[in-house]
Amino acid sequence: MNTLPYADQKIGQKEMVFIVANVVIGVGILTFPRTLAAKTGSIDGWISILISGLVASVIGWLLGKLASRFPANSFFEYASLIVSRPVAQVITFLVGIYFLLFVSFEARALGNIAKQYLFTTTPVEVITLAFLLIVQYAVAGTRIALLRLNMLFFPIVLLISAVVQLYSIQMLELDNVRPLFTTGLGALLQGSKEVNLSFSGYEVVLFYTLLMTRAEDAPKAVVKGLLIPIFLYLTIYIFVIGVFSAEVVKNLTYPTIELAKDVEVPGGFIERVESLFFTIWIMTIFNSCTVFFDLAIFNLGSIFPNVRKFTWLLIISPLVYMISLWPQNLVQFFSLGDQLVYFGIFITYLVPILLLLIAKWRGVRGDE
Amino acid sequence: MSKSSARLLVSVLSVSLLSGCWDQVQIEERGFVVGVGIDLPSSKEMERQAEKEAPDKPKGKRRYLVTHQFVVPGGLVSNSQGGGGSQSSTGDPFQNLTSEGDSLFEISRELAVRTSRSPFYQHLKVVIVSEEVAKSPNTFADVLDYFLRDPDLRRTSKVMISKGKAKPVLEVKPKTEKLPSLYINSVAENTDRTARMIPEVRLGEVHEDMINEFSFVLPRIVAANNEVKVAGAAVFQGQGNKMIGFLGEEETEGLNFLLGNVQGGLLKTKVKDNLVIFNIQGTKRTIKADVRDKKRMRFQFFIECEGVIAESFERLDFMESRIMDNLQKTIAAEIERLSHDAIRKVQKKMKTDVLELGTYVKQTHPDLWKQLKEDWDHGRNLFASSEIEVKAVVYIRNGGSVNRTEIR
Repeated sequence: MNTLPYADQKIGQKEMVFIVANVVIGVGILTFPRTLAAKTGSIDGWISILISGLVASVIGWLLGKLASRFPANSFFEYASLIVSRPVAQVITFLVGIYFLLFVSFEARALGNIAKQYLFTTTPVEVITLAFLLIVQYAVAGTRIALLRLNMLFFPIVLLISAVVQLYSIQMLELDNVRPLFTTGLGALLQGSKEVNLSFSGYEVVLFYTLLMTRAEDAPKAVVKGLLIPIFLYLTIYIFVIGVFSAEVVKNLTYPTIELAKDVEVPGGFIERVESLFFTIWIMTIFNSCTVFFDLAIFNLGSIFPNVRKFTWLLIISPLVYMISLWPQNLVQFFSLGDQLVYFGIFITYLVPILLLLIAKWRGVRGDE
Repeated sequence: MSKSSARLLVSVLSVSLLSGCWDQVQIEERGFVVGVGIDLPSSKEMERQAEKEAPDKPKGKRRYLVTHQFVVPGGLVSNSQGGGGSQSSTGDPFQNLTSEGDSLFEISRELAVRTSRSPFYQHLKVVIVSEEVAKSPNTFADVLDYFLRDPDLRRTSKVMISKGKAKPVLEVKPKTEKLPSLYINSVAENTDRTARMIPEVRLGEVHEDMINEFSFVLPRIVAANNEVKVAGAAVFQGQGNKMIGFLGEEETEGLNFLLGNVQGGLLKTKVKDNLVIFNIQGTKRTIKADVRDKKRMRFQFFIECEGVIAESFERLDFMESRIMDNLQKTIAAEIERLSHDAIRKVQKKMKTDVLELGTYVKQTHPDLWKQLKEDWDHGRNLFASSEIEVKAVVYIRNGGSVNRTEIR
């Protein structure tokens, strides 16, 4: 038995599960009920969540397979092994850009929502900057510490979201839930496309398997990690529809926040549960941001090995900040998010799956 | 300067200079709004004045007179404790500010020039909309838009319709509570004691009803001297969300039975010329429907009600099962009478489906509902031509602590 379980610079399967879950839960959790209800128009959207969850799990499994094939190599290294160095450079560069954009997106999401609900007179620029500075501080430290932070935060996140849902049971109205099974397959598939956007993030497995003690656990860990958001999305969707009805959810900007705002803990002990909810949501956004930031640096850094991590941090941070301030309003912001996810689907799902196929076909294996 | 003291200086400076908060509002500066009343202005004077000042300004179709009820914390200190020189303890614990304008947001912001405490809506308990506003076409949804849109507001505030103006409702001075709004808020929660009040309807639920285009009811509130009365209901047509009219207290009782809302209350019945009063302890409602003929749909309400005898002026033997059976039947007949009265009013007179039959059809026959939707309680009004039956069953659980009070 290991007397100092966290003394090594490695992560186990449990850590990977929590990282995946934490990274997937991001901006989407607040908005997906609206887009899903708009497409399916009823409680049946839960089927869409299952479908997209299944799709995500399959992709996640494949990504995990690819990464665990090369237990000691970074993404850039194994991409070079599979498809020559120049191609790998291009791919890795795009991946780095993708994560950089993702950090900007999440930081701005935090800025938007904090401004709308918490600090109405503070400029969004300042909120975003303050948040990014903390993220940079976290990223400047060791990678393994970041990942361990996920372990620390995630149980709190689960606990609070369970509390919010537990107390909204009393507001559930069966009338809003019925009729069941009225949505056609086409609408369900369209709905699952919408939810798919909220599942992105699990591609981190491609890059962190390197740090795992047992790399062959990676595929299993992704799927387990995805089960948590799938379950959470299912319950949130059912609760949001049950409390507000589908027609209303279509017209709420952030249905999940409205749910948290409506919750009343009996006895008046805590009247504003949404403050707790915002706290945990900011914690998950912080976690995903640090992870994405770390990956942006790591991927860009692996192409140019001579530049120090801290230099990268200084180069990337202003870029991230400027991009995060690019969208002028909520509509532009959401469309940036959608485009970002499509870019991500291409560069972190399709390309790696292709890499896996090529690796299998050519029999490329990593060094042990 | 040594390195460590430089570090110290930097950290002290950054803590004292960099920290701060844009959104800092001291709690003393917050004007907690606990109630809002919305009326239409009674004179056109303000409008003419506004017209004169700025004739080219964009104008709304309608002007509103909005009363905000602010909490005055000084007044909340009870007199026995606040003797220690607190100058405001003699005053009212609330302040009502009324303003006129064509936008509710504008009115809310206008208050800034009149009060030192800026309105803060997080603790808004009640929104009272006057009958006049609710009955004007396309107005009810307009006045609620701001309350739903502002992220500061929550969807849990109660919405009520006042008979007459809304302002007097917020001006009552109850003896038991300090703030009129909190008083109204707790009166509206007494549904376990009476069947004449419909259960509280929250802002979020009104949004739900308006957006789903189903007709709905809201509680009616009437101000009188130093009290309010929350009884009766305002009926809204789901198309256009315009108020059609009020249901009286008895009709509301019937409606509550039909909706399965009754948690408590009483029913009176006569046995041999003397009253016997039944204390309701719970009801259950089920609906059966025969939807084969669209033009003449048949609905059957089945109401089960349980309770105990609360008062009896006829000396009956409540241990006798034959007597109890008869009593149960007469009380059931009373429920049916109340329900029929309510049905007559909403189905035949108002032709507005607040019995939630549309919801029922939507849930049980979703495909049929798609065809009916446009002709349900408007258009061809299939609701008005449907047949509604009520069947009630009463269970008297016991006769109270005594059987007879005197021998007669």
